[in-house]
Amino acid sequence: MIMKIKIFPFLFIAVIIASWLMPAFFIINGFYPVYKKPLFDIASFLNASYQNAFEKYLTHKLPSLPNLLVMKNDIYEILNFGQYHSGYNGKIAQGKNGILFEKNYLICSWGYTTGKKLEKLAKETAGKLDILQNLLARRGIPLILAMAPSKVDFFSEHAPWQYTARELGPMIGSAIAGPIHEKFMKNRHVPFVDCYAPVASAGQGKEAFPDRGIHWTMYGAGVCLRALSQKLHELDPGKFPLLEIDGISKTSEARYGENDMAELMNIWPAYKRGRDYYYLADFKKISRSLNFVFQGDSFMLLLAANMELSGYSTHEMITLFDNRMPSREEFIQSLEHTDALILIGNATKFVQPYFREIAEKLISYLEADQTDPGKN
Amino acid sequence: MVFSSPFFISVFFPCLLVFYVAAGSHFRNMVLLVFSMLFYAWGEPKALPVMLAVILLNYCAALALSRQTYGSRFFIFGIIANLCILFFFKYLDFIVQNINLLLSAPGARLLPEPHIPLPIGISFYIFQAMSYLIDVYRGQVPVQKSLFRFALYISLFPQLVAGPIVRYSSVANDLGRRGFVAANFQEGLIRFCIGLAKKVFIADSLGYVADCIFDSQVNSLPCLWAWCGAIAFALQIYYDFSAYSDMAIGIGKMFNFTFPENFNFPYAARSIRDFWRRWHMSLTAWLKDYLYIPLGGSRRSFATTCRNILIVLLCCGMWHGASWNFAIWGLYNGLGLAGERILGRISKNWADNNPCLLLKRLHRTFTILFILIGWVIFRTETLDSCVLYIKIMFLGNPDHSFYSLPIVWENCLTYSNAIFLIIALVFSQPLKNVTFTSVYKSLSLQIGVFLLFVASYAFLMTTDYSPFLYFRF
Repeated sequence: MIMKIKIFPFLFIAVIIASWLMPAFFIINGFYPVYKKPLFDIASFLNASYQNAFEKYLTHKLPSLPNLLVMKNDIYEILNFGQYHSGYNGKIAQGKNGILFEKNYLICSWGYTTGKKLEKLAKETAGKLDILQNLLARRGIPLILAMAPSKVDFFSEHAPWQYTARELGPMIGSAIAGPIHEKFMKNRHVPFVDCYAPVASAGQGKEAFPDRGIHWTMYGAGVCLRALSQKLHELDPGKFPLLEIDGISKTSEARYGENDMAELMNIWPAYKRGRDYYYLADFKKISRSLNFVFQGDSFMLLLAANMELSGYSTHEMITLFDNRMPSREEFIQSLEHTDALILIGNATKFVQPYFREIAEKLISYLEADQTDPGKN
Repeated sequence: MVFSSPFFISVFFPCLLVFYVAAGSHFRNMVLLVFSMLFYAWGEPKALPVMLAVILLNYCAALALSRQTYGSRFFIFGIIANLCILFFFKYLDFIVQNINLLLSAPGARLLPEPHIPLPIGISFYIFQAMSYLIDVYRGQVPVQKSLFRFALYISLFPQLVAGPIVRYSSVANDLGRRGFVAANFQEGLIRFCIGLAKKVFIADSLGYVADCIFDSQVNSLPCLWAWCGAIAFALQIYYDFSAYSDMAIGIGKMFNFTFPENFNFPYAARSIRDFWRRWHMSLTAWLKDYLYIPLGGSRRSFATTCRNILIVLLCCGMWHGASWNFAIWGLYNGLGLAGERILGRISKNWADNNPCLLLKRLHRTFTILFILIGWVIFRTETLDSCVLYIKIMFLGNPDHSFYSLPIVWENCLTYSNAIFLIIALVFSQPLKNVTFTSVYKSLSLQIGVFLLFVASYAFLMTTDYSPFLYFRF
C-alpha cells in the first residue's frame, strides 16, 4: 500500500525548498568567497562569463549553504575516521589528538625543499632586500623582514601520519628556515626577526597556538611583536620604544580567528571536552601611535591587533597589504608617513621565492617613482 | 550547464519541474523545448545558432529525401553537410595544426590556425541527426513533419550534451502527446539521484586521485601509484559517464521518454569484444549500424572484417576528440579486437564461451589489463609520457621504491577516497539483487537513495571540483 504513494518526488522538492528557506546555523563569513551580482551585458552573456558569475552569485546566496558545508565536513570526518580530516576545501588536516594544521605548513616542513635549495633562496632574497632597504633608506624608512612561527614546529609529534611516515629527509620548518635566512640577512645587514626563537625559548608553544584553529593565539603574536619591537628599538631607540610583556592571561572567549577552523568544520565535540582557553599577552601599556606598513599574511593581522592593544599603534595608522601586492600608487602613497615597512610571512613563504619576488616588485615601484628624495 | 552543477539542481531543475507539471499535456513539449534551448544557451549562447542550423538542415533534408524525386541526392547532401559541420568545428584546428607541423621547416609559410571553439555536445547531436536522416532514407522511420517535434528530438536537454545517443525510432512515439505517469516520474527521479551520488561521491573522489597522479611528473611515479592512477582513472571515467547517463535516462523517464541504456558493467567483460558490447552502448550501436555494417561488417573476408574493425574503432577514437591520443586509443582497441578474432580463428578455445576455466580467467585478466592500458593512452597528454607511464606500470621506476609516497599527493590519499575506490570496485561488477528495479520496489532502499541525495546535494553545493569528462566530446 505504502509503495502506491509516490513520496520520493515530494522529499526531493522539500530538500531543494528547505535549502532556500532554512536559515544558517553556522557562520562561515570570511571562509567562503563572496560573489557580487554580475552586471548584465551582451558580450559577457555571449561568452557565458555572465552566466558563470550569476550561477556562483546565486548559489552562494543559498541561505543554508553553511549548514550544507558543515554537513559535508561531518561526512568527511566520519569517512576519514576522525584521524585525517580534510575539510575547508582540502586545506586543513587534522592530526593526532584533534590538533589542526594547515596543510601548506605540513608540506613545507617535510620534503618541500632541501637545505641547499633554501640557502640559495635565502641568499637571493637577501640580495634583493638589501637593494630595497637602500632605496627605502633614502626616504628614512627602515625595513624589517619577519618570519611567523609555524605550528608544525611545536606540534610535530601530532602531525598526521601521511606527512611524517615518509623517507624524505629531515624536517624543514621555521626552525630550520629561520636560522638560514638569519645568516644571509645578517651578511647583507637586513634586519630579520625570526619569531620561532622567542616562542620556542619561552617554551610556550601550547599558549602560542590554539588546538582548534590553524593560526596563532594573541599571545603567540604578542611574543613576536615584542621581538619585533626589540629589533626596531635597536635600529632607532628614540623613535621605537621597547615593548614589554607583563604576563599572560587566559580567556574562554575565542577571538581573532582562534577557533575559526573548528567552527567551520563543525568538529566541536572533540573540543568541548576541555581545552577551552585562549591566551593573551599583557603588555605594559604605552601610547606611541607609530605608523607601519605591513606586507604579509594572516599573522600580521594578529600583530596589528596586538599593536593596538599595547598602544604601540592604532588601527588608523597601520596599512596592511594582506596577501596581495599593492599597486605602485598605493605603495608609494602608503610610505608617505610611515615609520617602518615590515615584510612578514609564515614559514611556507620562506621556502618559496615569495619575498624575493615581493622585493623585486617593490624595488621596481621605488625606482620608477619620481618623488624619490634621493633621485636628484 | 551540466546536471551536477549547483545551479542546475537548485534552480533550473526545480523551475522546469514546476512548469512541466503545471503545463497541461498540450504544453508540456513546449515547456521542454523552451527549457532545452535555455539549458543549451545558458552554457554557450554562441553555439545555439549552430544547433539551430543543424536542426533546420536535417529537418529540411529529411522532408526533401522523403519525396520520390531526387531523394537520394538530398540524403547525400544532408549527410555531407552534417559531416562538414562536425569537421569544421571539431577537426579543422587539429588538421591545420598538423599541416603546420609538417610545414615547420625554416622559412616555410604556415597556415593560420582558425581556433574555432567546439560547440558543446556537437558530436552527440550531429550523430543523432545523421541517424535520423539515414533511418528515414532506409524507410525505417517515418519523416517527422513537425519542425517543433523534430527540434525537441535534437535539443531535448537530458541527452543533448553528453548522450546517450538517442535514435529517433526510440523516441518517435514519445514525442507526441505524453501523459504524466507518477510511477515513471518517481523512478526517473530515483535514477537521477543515484546518478548524482555516483558522480559526486565516486567519480569526483576518484577523479581527484587520478588527477593527482596523472598530473604529476611521470618519471617521479612509483610503480604502485602508477597502477593506482590507472585504476582510479578507469573507474572515474566509467562512473563519471555512466552517472551522467543515469541522470539523463532518469530525467527522460520523468518526462515519459525512454532512452537507451549506455552501460552494462563494462568491467565485468570477459573479452575486449564483450567490453565494447557493454561500454558506451549507444555509440557502439550507432557505429555498428551506420558504419561497420555498411562497410561490409563481418560478412566478407576475414581481412576485410579486420579492416572494418580498425576503421570503426579509429572513428570511435576520433569521435572522442581531435587529438592523436584518441586516434591511437581507437586503433589500439581496434587492434585488440582484431587480435582477438585472429586468436579465435587459431584456437577455438580463445572464444567468449571457451570451456576451460583457467583460459577464461586468463582471458578476463588480459581484458582488464588491456582496458587499463587503453585508459592510460586515453588520459596521458603526450606519447612520451604514455610510454613512460606504461613502462613504470610493468617494469617499475628505478628512481623510486615500489610504494614511496610523493608528498604532493597528500590531498588525494585520504581514507575517504580509499573507501570510495573500494565501493567503486564492488559496484563495477553486477551484484545479485542490486538493480534499479529493486530500488524502485523497496521503500528502505528509496530512503537510502534519498539520504544519498541529501549528502550529494551538500557536497555539490560546497565543492568547486566537479569535472565532467564526456562534456568536452
